[in-house]
Amino acid sequence: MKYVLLDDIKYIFGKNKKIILSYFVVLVLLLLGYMFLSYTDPKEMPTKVFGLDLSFNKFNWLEMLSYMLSLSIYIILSIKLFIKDMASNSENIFLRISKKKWVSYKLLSIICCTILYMLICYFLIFVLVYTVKNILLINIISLYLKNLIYILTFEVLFIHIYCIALKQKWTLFLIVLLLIVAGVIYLNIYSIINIKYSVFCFVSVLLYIFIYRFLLVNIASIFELIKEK
Amino acid sequence: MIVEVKNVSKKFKNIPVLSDVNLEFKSGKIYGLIGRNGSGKSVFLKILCGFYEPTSGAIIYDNVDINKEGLFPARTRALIEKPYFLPDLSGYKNLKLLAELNDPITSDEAIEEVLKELDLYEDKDKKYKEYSLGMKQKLGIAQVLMDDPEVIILDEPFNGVEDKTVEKIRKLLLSKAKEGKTIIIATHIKDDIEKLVDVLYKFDGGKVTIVDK
Repeated sequence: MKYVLLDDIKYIFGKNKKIILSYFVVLVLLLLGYMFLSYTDPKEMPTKVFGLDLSFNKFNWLEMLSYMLSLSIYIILSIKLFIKDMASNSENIFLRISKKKWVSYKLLSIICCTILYMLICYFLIFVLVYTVKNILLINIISLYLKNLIYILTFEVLFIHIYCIALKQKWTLFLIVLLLIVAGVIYLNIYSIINIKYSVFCFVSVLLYIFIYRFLLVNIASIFELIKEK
Repeated sequence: MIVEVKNVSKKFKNIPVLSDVNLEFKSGKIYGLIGRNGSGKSVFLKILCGFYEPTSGAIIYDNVDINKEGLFPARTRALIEKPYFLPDLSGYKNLKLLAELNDPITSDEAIEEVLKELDLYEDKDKKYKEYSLGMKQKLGIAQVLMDDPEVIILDEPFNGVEDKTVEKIRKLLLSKAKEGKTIIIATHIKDDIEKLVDVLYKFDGGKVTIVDK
């Protein structure tokens, strides 16, 4: 597990340095945008910067951009992490551990990398907002935890969709459709999870288990398709 | 361990890379695969490792068809194309992390022994990114040998390695063959392996022929 995790952390913060740093820059720009263009209360800025305040009632493009960016950066990185070992590090890993063991290690590693990267993003925003106005750390932590569950759920969902798309090309259509559905659901889901957070966590865990089972069963064919890509 | 390659063909997007290959690799022998770049050697090695599924045919390790079982071959280690390690960790730490993936875990003594055999022990605490090309290649070979595998697969193992060490690696592989290991080496330079191997196969246009030594 240690090897897979260290290799993934190195990959995220080494080979994807440009994506990581660009996202930091965009976060700062969004923060400035909310500060000077929308005259947002500093207390609400972390929620807005990560696109977590999006709703039909008070829709605005800056918030939509924040949301799409925040979601897509994690989805892209998680899919890259998922395919990396199969594409370029097969001898070291797969001649030593079974594919099924690897699926468990990899999902745990993706969770750890997401926790770490998201923590850095939240810390950055907390520090920047704190310099403008004293905000409570506990509020940021609470926001972080809710967002984390949400992002992790979408990451595994999109890894699942990616694997299906590898097998059947027509599912590209399905991906686009799901993206739209995900966006629409999200517009209302955040207010739902504020109320029924425990239900959302429960559904997320169920989804995780389902996708974990799917990957265990299909990993051999997924491996072959990624290798030959 | 006996590795049988039965009627193996491989196509990528309908382009044939290997056509009806039939080979057998036995314990205690060293096999050489030669052929120009792009002749299908690396693809063949990846099929042997279970990384690619043959379009038709079977790869059988001691009577177990690995593709049918969806397995990677047991007790097999390989270095195909470039070695892959964590650049900010030392050579030793890299091997230690990989050793921990094994069940049972490869001992520290085994790692140190193979590093000594490959003249890397002195540099074991140096970061991988500070290694020369030859040292990186040797660490890749160390990764293969440290687990004492039954089948050893090496693709262009002498790339960038200085002559003195090439000779040492040759002796090491000969001693492994005497221990009963099956060794398969691919290269595009015939001279690299001609004296070392027991059987030499040539890859050309998807076909494999035995070369008279």
